[in-house]
Amino acid sequence: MNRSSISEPDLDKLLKQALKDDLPPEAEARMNRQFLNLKRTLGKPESLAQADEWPWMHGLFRKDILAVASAVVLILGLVMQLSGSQTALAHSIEKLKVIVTVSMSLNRAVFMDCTVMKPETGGENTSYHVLWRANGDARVDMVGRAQTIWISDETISFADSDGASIRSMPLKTIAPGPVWQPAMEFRTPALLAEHMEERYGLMQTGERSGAGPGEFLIVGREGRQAVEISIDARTYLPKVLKKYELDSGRTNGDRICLMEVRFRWNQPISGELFVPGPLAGKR
Amino acid sequence: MESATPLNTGLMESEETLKSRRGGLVTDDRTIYDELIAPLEAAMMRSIWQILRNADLAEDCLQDALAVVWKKRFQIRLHPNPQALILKICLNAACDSLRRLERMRRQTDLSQLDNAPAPPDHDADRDLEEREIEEQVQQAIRRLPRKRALAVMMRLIHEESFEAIAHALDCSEITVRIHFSRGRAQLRRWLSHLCRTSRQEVSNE
Repeated sequence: MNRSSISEPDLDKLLKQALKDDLPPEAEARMNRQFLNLKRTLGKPESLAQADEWPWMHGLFRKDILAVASAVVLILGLVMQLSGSQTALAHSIEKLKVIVTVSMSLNRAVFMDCTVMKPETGGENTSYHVLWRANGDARVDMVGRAQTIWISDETISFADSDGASIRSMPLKTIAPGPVWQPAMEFRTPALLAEHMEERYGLMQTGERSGAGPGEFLIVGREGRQAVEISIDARTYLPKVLKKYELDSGRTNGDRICLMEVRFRWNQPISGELFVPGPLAGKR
Repeated sequence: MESATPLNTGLMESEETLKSRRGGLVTDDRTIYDELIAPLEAAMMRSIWQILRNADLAEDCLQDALAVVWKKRFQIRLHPNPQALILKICLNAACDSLRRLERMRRQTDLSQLDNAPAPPDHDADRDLEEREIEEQVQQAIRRLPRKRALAVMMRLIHEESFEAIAHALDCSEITVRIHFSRGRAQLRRWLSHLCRTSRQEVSNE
């Protein structure tokens, strides 16, 4: 009998026979225990809902950083070993130090006021105004469209369809639509720091024409976009973040700016602006 | 009523989507368990058992599968076919367990088995033969690329539709058919000797 003579029904029969549904009671009892364990955990005040978020939100994030840092140190060690030069290592450590210092400054910020501008086709801009304060309250306005969302304590609030009443919902159950996404990226300084460390990649420091006096520029990349952030040399806080089309400007043409974000830090913001309400819309 | 607000002008998600999300997601963990997992408890246990056929492994595997299901619970609730997705998660966990088992077997000193007492059952030869067939089928499934293995098991053993499998594997129906057909062809090659044996047995009977 050659191989091709074996029919598919024979194989199907063999598989069904070998993998038959004959769960023995003792195995069933042991597996049932797992369901009971899960149900019991749900009854406890600190449920799985909270427990499973922390490792991902915090634990693994830190592990990632450690893994990247270890890899960088190893690579730098190799580079130093091979080149016999210590300047490369010193330079790279300096770059890392800059990123870490900026990240720490962002995490120490008390107030953030930023304007996000996104050029649209046809020469128009979509603009957002993001306000944030250290207790976690944030407010995002879509400039020129009189639309506002408030985010506080993982709750999102927005004006109801009649414009008079406010509705609030848990943030995890409702995501702002895509049109809000450019602003959501800068909703909190911690989120910006996270993007700098994870999404924009390890950045280089450099002297570019975009940086003014008392500033320096850090450069990164996000997919097909170049990211440039000018940092205040005194406070180590971002002043302007710009995203460009990656290959634009290479042939002496103008660089195509995809997004520009201007930040103001630690200027006191009235608490009223963070209170959801129809009146709060009038700034 | 439907004046310009962030949520009803299409700038954010539509009102209908929000309503369905609200209805579907604003629930506590117990409700999620009752709706999502409780009706599938038996199916989850059986799907894992059918592949692993070992109580210790099956228990560990179910624990792994439940952890994945729970972590992805919101995603699963929004999935077009939650049952198929949960089945896929269970089978995936079972495939991982098979791989772990294989590694353990390689590390275990098989000579210890020489001293083990023989099974007292008079039908021991037949049991042994069945066990060997099961092990060879498990090995063949383990050798298959993951998506092929899942497609074959979901289709042949659990008789899921290609559409449901496509939803669970997050690919097109055509791709599922290709996975299934290639997986089955590989199994036919690898298990051909077993097919012959089983056919001979049938003819002898």
